[in-house]
Amino acid sequence: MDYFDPHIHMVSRTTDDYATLARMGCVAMSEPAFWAGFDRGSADSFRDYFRQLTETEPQRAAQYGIQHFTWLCINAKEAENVELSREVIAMIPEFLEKSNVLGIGEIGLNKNTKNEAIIFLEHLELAIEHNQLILIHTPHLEDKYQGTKMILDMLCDDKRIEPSHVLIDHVEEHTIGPVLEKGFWAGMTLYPISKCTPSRAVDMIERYGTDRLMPNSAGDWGPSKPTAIPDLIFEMRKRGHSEATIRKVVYENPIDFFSKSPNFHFTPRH
Amino acid sequence: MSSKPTPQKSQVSKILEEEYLPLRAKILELGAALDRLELADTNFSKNPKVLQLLQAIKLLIPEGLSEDTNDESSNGKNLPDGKAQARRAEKIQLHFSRIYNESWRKEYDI
Repeated sequence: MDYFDPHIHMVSRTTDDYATLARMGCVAMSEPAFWAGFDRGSADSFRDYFRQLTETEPQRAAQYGIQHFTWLCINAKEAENVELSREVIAMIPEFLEKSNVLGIGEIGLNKNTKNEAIIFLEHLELAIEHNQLILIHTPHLEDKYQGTKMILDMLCDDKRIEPSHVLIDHVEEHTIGPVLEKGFWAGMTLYPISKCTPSRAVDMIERYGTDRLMPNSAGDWGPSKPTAIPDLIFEMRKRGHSEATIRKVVYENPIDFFSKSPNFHFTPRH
Repeated sequence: MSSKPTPQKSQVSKILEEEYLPLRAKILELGAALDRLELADTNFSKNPKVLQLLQAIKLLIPEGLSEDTNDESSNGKNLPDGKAQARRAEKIQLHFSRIYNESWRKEYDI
């Protein structure tokens, strides 16, 4: 089955992974800007990273018939450095006209600090000013509940934000309800240790329905599995779900959300 | 809102069959890991993280379930409706979460 991976960090993956994903049915992916595993020292590091996301990765993906889209920001972890964050935010508009940029992301919170919240709000201003979609990272483990609620507070306070233009990622059993109730899209990240397993993601689909929900692998430099979406497809088939239901969550929903960006030009396979 | 896709009826007993042994194995792993911790730590029962884990395990057990599985008086018939109980994952997530601080904006002056 053809599918999208709406959140995968291909800069951390080998070319073999592109080949494997193509063979598993991945036809398109979106790659949010994220933490590299170390704190970068200058805005120029981010400039190079944004060139990698907007120039190099689309070419690498295209060699395997995969369409590559991306999101730009300074991530929540490095947002603790407010001065650097503001330099990066000021630079982002240079890249917004690149053909594969869908919006601002993955912004959000990490440890739910004041500085993270300040930079999150400044990213929201950037997205509103440039009419961009927004992709949001929610914190992990014991910080997820508080962080998700803080993010919802900030989003819902701003009446300029259209919930259907925002994807809130890494939802789990205790955060998916509030995200969907407020009209936002929800991403379920399939991850071996933290976040969510394919079985639990299917449990959530069965509990909340298929609207505004999409799974992703977040395949990155940590212990992650870039082929996690085929695992979810397999789990749904095992439980007897129809091919139409599976296709909605792994293919149609991402297309529906991404289509709200003028830069999303997707060519389905014949 | 879309209709909620549910597993086909014919799949339900199959799911139980498939889940039974893996679940049994996971419960055994839990028991063995807690034994390991207790043997290694003389303050086992006072350790806050251990207590948090043990409290989380209690959230798995439906109210009204007798500890004696051979007790015919319980025998499942007095248990609340299964679907009403089926929020264990959500409860466990909240158990391991920091409590939401509603006044965060005031404290951060944002």
